[in-house]
Amino acid sequence: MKKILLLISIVSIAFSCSSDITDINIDPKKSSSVQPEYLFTGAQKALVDQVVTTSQVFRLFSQQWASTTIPSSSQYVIPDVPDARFTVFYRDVLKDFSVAKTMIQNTPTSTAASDIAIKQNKLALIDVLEVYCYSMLVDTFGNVPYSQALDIKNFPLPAYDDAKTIYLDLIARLKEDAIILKANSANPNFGSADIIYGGNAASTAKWAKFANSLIIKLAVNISDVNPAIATTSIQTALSSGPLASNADNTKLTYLTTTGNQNPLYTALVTSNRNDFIPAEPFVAAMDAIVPGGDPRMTKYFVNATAPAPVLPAGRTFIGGTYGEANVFSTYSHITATLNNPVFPGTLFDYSELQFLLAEAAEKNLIPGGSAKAKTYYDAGITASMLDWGVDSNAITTYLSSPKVAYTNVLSGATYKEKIGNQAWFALYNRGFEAWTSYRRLDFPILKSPTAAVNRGILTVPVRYLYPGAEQTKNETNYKKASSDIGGDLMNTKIFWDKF
Amino acid sequence: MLIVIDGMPINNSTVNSSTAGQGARNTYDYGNAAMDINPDDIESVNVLKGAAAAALYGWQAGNGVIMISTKKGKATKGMGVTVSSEFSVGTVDKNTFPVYQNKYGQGYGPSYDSAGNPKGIPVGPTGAFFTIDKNGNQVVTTTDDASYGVAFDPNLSVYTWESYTPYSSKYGQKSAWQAAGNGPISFFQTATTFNNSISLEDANDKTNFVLNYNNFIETGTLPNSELKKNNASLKLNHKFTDKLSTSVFASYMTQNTVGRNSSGYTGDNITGWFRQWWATNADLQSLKDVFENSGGKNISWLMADPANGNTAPKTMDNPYFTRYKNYQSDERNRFIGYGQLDYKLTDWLLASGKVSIDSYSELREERKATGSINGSFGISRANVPSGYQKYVGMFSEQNYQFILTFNKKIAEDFSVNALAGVNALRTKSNSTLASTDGGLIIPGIYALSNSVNLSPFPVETENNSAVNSAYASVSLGYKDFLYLEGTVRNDAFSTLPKGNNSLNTFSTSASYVFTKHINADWLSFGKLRGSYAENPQGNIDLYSLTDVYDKNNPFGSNQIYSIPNRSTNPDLRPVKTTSKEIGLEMQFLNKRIGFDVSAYKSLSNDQIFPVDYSTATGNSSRYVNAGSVENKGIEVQFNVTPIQTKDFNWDVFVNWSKNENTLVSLASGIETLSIGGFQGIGIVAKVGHPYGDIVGKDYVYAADGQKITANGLYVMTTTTNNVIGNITPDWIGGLRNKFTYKQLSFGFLIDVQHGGDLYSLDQAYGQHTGLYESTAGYNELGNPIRNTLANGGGLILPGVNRDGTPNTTRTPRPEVAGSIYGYKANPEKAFIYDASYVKLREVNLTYTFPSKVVSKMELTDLRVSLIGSNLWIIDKNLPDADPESGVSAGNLSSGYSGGSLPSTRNIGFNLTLKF
Repeated sequence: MKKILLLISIVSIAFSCSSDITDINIDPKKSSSVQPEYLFTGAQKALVDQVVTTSQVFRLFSQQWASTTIPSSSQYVIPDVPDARFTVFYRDVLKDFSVAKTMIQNTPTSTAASDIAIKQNKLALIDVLEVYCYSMLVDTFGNVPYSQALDIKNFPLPAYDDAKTIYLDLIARLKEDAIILKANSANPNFGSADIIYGGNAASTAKWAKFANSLIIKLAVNISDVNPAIATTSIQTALSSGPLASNADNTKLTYLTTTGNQNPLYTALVTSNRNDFIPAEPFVAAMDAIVPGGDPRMTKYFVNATAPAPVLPAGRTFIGGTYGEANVFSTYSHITATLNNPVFPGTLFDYSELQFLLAEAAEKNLIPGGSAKAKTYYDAGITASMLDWGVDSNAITTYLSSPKVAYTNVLSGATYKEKIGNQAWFALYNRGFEAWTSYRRLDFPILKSPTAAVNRGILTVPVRYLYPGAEQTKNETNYKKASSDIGGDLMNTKIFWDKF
Repeated sequence: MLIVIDGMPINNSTVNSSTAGQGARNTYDYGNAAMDINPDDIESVNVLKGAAAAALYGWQAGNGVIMISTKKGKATKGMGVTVSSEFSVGTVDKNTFPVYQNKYGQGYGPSYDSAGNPKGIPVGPTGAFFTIDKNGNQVVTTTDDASYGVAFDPNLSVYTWESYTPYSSKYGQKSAWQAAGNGPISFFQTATTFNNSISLEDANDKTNFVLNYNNFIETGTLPNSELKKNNASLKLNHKFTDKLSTSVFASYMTQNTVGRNSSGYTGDNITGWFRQWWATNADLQSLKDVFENSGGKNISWLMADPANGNTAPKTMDNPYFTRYKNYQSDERNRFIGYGQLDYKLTDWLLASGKVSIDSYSELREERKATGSINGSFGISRANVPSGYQKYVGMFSEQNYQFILTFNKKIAEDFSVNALAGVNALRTKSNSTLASTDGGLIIPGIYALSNSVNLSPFPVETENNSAVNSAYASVSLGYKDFLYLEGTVRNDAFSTLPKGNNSLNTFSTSASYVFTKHINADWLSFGKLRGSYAENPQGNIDLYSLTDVYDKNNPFGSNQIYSIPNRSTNPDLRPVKTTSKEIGLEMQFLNKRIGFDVSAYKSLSNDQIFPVDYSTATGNSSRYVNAGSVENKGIEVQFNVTPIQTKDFNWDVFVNWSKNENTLVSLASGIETLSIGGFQGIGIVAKVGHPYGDIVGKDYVYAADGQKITANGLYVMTTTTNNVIGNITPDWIGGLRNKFTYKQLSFGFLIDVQHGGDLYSLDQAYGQHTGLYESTAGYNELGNPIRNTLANGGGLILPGVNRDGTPNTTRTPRPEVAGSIYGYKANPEKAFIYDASYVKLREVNLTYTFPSKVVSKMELTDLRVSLIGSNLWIIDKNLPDADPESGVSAGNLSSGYSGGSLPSTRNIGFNLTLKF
């Protein structure tokens, strides 16, 4: 009996000393705290990657590029593409910005004016980039989650907010951010963690310019449905100061190391796939604009030598049939400039801004009418050509040629045609902006390819479908959003796309 | 499912990555660690369900327990040596592999300019064309991984990929344009297995032991695949005194494998290419010849642009190059063992302590040889031309157990067994994964230092978990016919929150052998049983409580961390499954005929899952107490011995079961539970619906059920969450027959699954690329469907237009890949198949030599047997594949079929002798 009791007590002691086994449930290889700078840099990079990647098919939608062996994407069969865009923006970019913002807000700072200014700059800068993301989401899908987004604990089923309401809130946020950044432009922000502008004091001024440029872009977008707000917003932004020259262009210069290269490099070079060639609608239009072709063509395209493509008479380059399969070697190819792993990814450039302002002048959102529009138009073309390395003499000649000259009816019957076509040329390799410009101005004239027409898609899509995953994981809100926007279809216009 | 050896639970996790489970590129199936058990160690296998399992194994036993008992040495006549030798061969079952159309060759079909004019010079009525080289010769479009090209015509001579490589006998020559003589089925070779064991046992009144050694060598159906295993074990029981005895088991296994199959989507998964993206004129013998003649170069049927001098492979390597150069290899050494001491405190009280260990170390290496096409490889999954990846892992699980067992006859008719025990389980594992980046500097050297770029940061994992359990169980018996049992347990888990990590559970069962009270000659045995059991949910992921950050590669000198996709939850609650079961077993006519029926219902309440959420929440998923799942069903076993004579016996066993799995509730914030997602479809569960619905796009139907067409093509839903099938079978069953005539016994086993659906990615892509016969048929005019409309081709799909008129429009552009068949023209619903099957699973024929003959040979036992397995799929609905071949093991193993190997038919011969 004694032996039994002894045995039992030994064993129970052994077990009561088991202490708390839950203490071992911590992953020793991962940290539960981190510096907000690390999250910020990661989110910036993921954002530019998403804007640049060929997995997002906007260079095809805007018919600047065509497909080779597998034409499905150019025929608008893009099953997982909207899911990828949605996920990258919300999960990989916005969430990280949001957590970084909260960490910075909660970090105690000294009372030194410079420290306070730096903290304000960081918060304003994150806010600007968040606004940029949401503007992209609205411009892609229409109504999207906004006020209930990024909070899995409280809003596991986020509702979709009205796109116009979001847009107006975005513009309001940008206005405040621009004021802060401009006021604190003697102070740096993220330092080297800002991989776009460098994070120093000079960069703060540039971020203010970016914010103002973004206001102008959003304002021009909504100008057809709310000209009053567009007018006041553009004028505020102009007086605060948007991008002033190509030196202010918002670009990320990539690196040569794996994972940090321009996503174009992965798509065009390391994949070994040759999936893309220039599209004939774009190439033919550029060839036809001036004798000998637009001077940027030699910067945008290249002809292989063995074998060389067979060029029709009067043509310098030949593009593939958009929406059909094309044999890679038969056509001109995309310039080798885009094969460079360190080729920069662009969020906003001066040329783009000039075309937006030209449109604003024509719509009387800013004073000056067509005359003012012409100066902006010319400046946009010039900036684009300089950015791509075209000689300035060639630019002058180009601007006065009949099909380009703003005052000449040959460049377009309406301002929409003139600006639409030239913006299309300037926005080469900036597929989303080219597509957005097309949706708003309705020029250039693009047609849905036969294979898509056969399947019932009669016009070029003007939005992405909502991600398929939302139908399962957020069903009720998806259905409501779908009905609110007038149907989850590729031809349902975004709220600002009135015409 | 828990596997237990002599009361010691062993690790049987599936060690594939989660992306392998969902078909990502270039991942391997490393199988299930429970395969390390040596079958020769096994004395008996018992399956425990319900309350019986709960008593001893609690939280791990939720899905049932397979109890393996190892052999106990016996004193035998003779030396106690058993030698067993087995040799088997396997060939692929052609019924589980595509039958290719033999009418059209490589190409995607003609393409057109914006005015609708065909590009290229059409050849034949489909308008498909060859490339024309600078000398005006016709060259096959070698860059197309599809078979919608020019119609075969042996009178046509064209340059093929073989014409451009000096290592082919056809170098510089044209070939007749025809289907390959050696299609992809000839890629698979005959598999062989050698399995040899020797076992020694002996016993005396104090000690018995069994010593086993097994050697297993297998070559698979894929070239360059081999598995070698050695397993040695010792089982020892010894009585020190009348009171003290010990039992020791030690087993050590080493396994070396080369050339496991790459699963997942294309990449190195050769069978995936064969099933989805292939050219019917590509000949496997030619591919083998050029590989061998060139000394191992990567010369592929999918060539970039041979007419213009570019003979580099396009997107698929030569399959022989993949198998012999880009192979993986792995090694595992495993020790399983326990030591147990039993001490009889009194006649009726036994104390028993046991320490058991299961530990293994693993090395896995993957190679991508110089000369390969760029492909996703390594930690970064970037496209690289070559590389090396190495994984080392170590796993160790220890179980410490102390039990007091009480065994007494209280009164004349009552017996009591009771036990009280405590158990401590400690599990540890760690691993390091490292790879080269950017390619290998020097070809052929597979070392991490041989990396063009600085190697990316290795990925480390370290997992520690623990479970402490205490339990007590009482079992009462009355006069050997009435039994009542009850168990209480407390389990504490390290994976749950502090202060709320333990759970008490209770189980009880009763059984009544009512034949004690019924006197009928024809009723030999009858037992009624019922049970109620509670099991804690134990398989909770480690580290699901606290948020951490993922480290990514830095951007230059800027560090990058990110929020993980999966969000944690510090408020998880321990939860349990409750099950009720009732069963009746009866045997008649001296056990000549009998049955065992049981019905059960179990509710897994509030289970913890990593639930998928909308990514607008900022995360992809979160651990939550997600929902309750109910399982109810019936299992029936039936046995009959129609013939029983002195010399001849015929036994029949039938088993049948039906399980209904329903999601009964979901936590707030979840509308649909996503169980898995694959290319094209999702597998989900919705409240009130059967678990495992397959969702995807469907056709649009008219009110009378006909499909809607527009412009000659079917209209698809824009929504992707339509229920198009369900993975759960209606019922499964088996039939086993055994015939014994004197020394000869013959048996066969038939397995049946009825119902259950799966989605075939092979059909979705393979029909698009025109590989299958279904894509090369004739229309109602008697013309080939693939002819252009101008040449009388095309198909009038059965359906109605939206205005109600029947469809009379021919499908536009029938000559182009994907215009009628495949994923582009059809919704996922089109590729859902009934996964039912009837299979002849096993046939065996054994001859046991009679004792007179045996003793003349100075042996104690001699038998030979012939065993065939997976010989015949008697019936199935899934074309060109085996409905049982999934993408991974575990929960995601059904519902999806893509790129899997053809099944193998095995025939083996076994010789066992004892002396």
